[in-house]
Amino acid sequence: MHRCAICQTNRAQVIRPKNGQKICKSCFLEVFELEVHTTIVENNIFPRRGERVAIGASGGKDSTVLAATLKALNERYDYGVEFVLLSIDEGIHGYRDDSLETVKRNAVQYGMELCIVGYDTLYGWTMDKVVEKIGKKGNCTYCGVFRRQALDRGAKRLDISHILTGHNADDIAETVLMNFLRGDLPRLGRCAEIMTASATSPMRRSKPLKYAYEKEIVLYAHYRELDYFSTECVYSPEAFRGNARSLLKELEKIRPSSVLDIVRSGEQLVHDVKSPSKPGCGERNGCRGQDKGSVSGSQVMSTEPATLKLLQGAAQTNDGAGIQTIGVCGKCGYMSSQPICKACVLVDSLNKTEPPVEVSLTGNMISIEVSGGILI
Amino acid sequence: MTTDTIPITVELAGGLELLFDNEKKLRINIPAKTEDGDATNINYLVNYLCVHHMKDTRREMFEVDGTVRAGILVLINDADWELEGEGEYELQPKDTILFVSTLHGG
Amino acid sequence: MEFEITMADIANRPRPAAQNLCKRCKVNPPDITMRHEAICWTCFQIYIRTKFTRHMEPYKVKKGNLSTKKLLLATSLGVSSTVLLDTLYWHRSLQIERAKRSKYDVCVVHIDETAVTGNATNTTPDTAATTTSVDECIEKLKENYPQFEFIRVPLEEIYTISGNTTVEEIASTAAGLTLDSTSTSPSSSTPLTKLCTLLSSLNSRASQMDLINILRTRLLVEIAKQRNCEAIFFGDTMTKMAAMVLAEVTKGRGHALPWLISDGPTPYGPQLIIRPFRELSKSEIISYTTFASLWPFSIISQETATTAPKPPIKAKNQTIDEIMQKFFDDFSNSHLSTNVVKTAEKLDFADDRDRAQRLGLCEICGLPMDEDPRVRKLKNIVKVDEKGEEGSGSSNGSGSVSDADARIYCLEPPVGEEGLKERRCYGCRRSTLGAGKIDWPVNNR
Repeated sequence: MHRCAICQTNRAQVIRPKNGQKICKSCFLEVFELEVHTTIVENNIFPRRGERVAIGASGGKDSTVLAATLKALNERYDYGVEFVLLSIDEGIHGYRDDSLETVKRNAVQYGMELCIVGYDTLYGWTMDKVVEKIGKKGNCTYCGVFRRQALDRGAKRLDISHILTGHNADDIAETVLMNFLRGDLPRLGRCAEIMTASATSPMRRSKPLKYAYEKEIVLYAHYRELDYFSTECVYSPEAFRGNARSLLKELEKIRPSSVLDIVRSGEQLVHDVKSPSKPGCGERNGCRGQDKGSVSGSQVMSTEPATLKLLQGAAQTNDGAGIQTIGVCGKCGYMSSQPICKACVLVDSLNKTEPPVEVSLTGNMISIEVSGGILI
Repeated sequence: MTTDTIPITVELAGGLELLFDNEKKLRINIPAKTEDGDATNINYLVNYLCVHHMKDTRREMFEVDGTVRAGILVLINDADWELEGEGEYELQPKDTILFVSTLHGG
Repeated sequence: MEFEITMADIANRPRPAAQNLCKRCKVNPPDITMRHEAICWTCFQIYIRTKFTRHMEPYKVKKGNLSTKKLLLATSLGVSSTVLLDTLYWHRSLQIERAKRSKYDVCVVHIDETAVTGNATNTTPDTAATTTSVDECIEKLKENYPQFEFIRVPLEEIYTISGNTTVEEIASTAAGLTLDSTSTSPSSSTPLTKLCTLLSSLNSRASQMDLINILRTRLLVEIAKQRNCEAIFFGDTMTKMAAMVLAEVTKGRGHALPWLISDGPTPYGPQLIIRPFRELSKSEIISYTTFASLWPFSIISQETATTAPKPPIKAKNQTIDEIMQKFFDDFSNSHLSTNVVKTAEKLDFADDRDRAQRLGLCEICGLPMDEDPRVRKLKNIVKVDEKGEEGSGSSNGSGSVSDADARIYCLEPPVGEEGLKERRCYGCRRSTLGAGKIDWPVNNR
């Protein structure tokens, strides 16, 4: 029998993938929560007391663990924020109905308000109807575009400007690998960021589980006996991500820290690629000089960490210059960098009898993280 | 030739139960020895479950290369199987073996 | 009438001709399908050589400039190294033929790792039966390429070369362990035992091969310095480089990618790294090897190189580099290598030079240190904080951040090595995790 490396008393039940440490169940739960807390504090995820923050809740393991940990940490460390569960009903029969029941139970269990936003009310189309119309191929694109806006719209309806999602370290590592394999430089530069703000959205999005292994999330849910729902989206083919995922699993086998190490590498790429407000710029060489985000970045870089005021001054001017492009969609009035927002373009194509439009994957709106029912 | 069996509990979670006709808990008696006379281990159990209990035809969702598919977490009496010798762990009477998928949507 | 018929014949001709003749020269029958084009062997050779020659601009014979440069060709004796050697030989011979002189001399260096890896090559475990031995292979190369100089240097020489050892001494110890008897130091600290001690302190084969890769490159640079070689040539293909990119990302060295994959000078010194095959795929190099009958000059057998890679060794004992190479060698993934390399090439770290100055170089890999997480995180915080009013928070003091580094990444430095974070980059800290104090042979300048 192995003894716990932390308390030296109990039987070890878990091997930590980050460093191979063998620890007991209660020490594991404690370290797991402490790491999420550290992530929150170090990244200043909750800068304002009294803020209402939405948790994108799918009823799956990641968002359930996120909600459970945040409830515990908010009570323990007094972040002073109020959490609201925000769920999207894509209208996928046999997938979403059941998971929404889970979310409803979670809302009661964690004492959090729940808001469900449906694709049918937002777009007039459920995913079942979309698939009926266009087939299974490419439907994830629709789902992803719709969902991203749905979360924003849902949050806006609740007068909330900060959404937390359950992305874990494995998701991010996979995305880093995938963006390399796809040659998607702009996304590569921001996929490992813990918090993102987009030009087309006033929302902040944060990933407090960014450093948590999928395996540890499942263990946490198991040991805490959390009530979560697990099934694959019936329409998700897992194609490209599956490739990166199996590669990641193989790497994890020989060096379990690989997942975290890839996240770390991804973070290092963040400041080399353009700011999120100017997508596509990074795809061309030689435009670096004109990019304000980059200029500000090098100022930050050359400044001593201690001179915080100066840093903020630099960032402020940058932000002021970067946000100017937000307009509104001529159709729905929702924020958009284009005359008509992507969601409306897609809805239009669905409403016509023509074949579906090709959606550019390099645009700003579509999230890459569209697989497996993960809320973005 | 021995017909001894070991009583164990097998639990399925994280979506794996769908492969087993939505059974989350199986109480089974597994042969104490393999056909070759070796003690029954987890890898043997994985195959045994595929043959005797899996209702789904997609065996590869559970078993790959003689052991559980990567991405399925195995807990032996609530402890990570990596602490117990993984697939080589020899089953003991009244063991509880939990298979939980980490692969399904969250 | 007759004339018209002939015209019509000509007009009709291209269609069957296109199918039966090389797409490029339209003269020879095609031998190979390359990037969806059926071309002949001669055109294929032109294609390979054109890609190569693009990198040889600085080594052209110029009127009135009689200086000769020295180049180092690093060879693993694998397929790509051998094709590069052959191509370089062709290039140089052409100069002599046309200009009666050559712009450069070539020293071919093989770093011998057999003493520590126990096998002929590090990348592709090959069975003894199908492998030409290293000695045999080098002898054949010497015979076939008489104008090149060949040397074989054991990896453990890295412990002596960066000290006061002269070139002559290296050459004399090139046979391997002969140093033992002449050395005054006790046998417990021979270069080989030092290297073995270092490697055995590491926790996995993945970590060992990672450090061996670093040592190999650094030894090559040292040899180049001592022999006044201006540049080091590597046979790395696009396929190999894609594997390298993702392997280094997986090891946590994203911050050093440009240094790892771009041609040019390195932080180790002014010697240039040149990879003339960086636009070619591994399968193209393999085809070339067959056409040019170069298989006898490589320690990799044709059979090994062309059959699908089997999972080498024990699955858990694989290295990260091996997994990545296997991934890109897999035909169904080969097209992805272009994306990976092109993407990595675009990461041209604007702050890089500044970063190297500010943060220094990693004591192990010798590349610029990774960004202090404090700076990076502060930047992330201020970026999303539009008003910039509340971004600071009291929690961003340096003390708590370094705790976070240990708590979040779980890379606690070993006892007595608390300042490691300032000297060793993330990837090297990962590869040396748990190794304690290590005797590292090379210093940064």
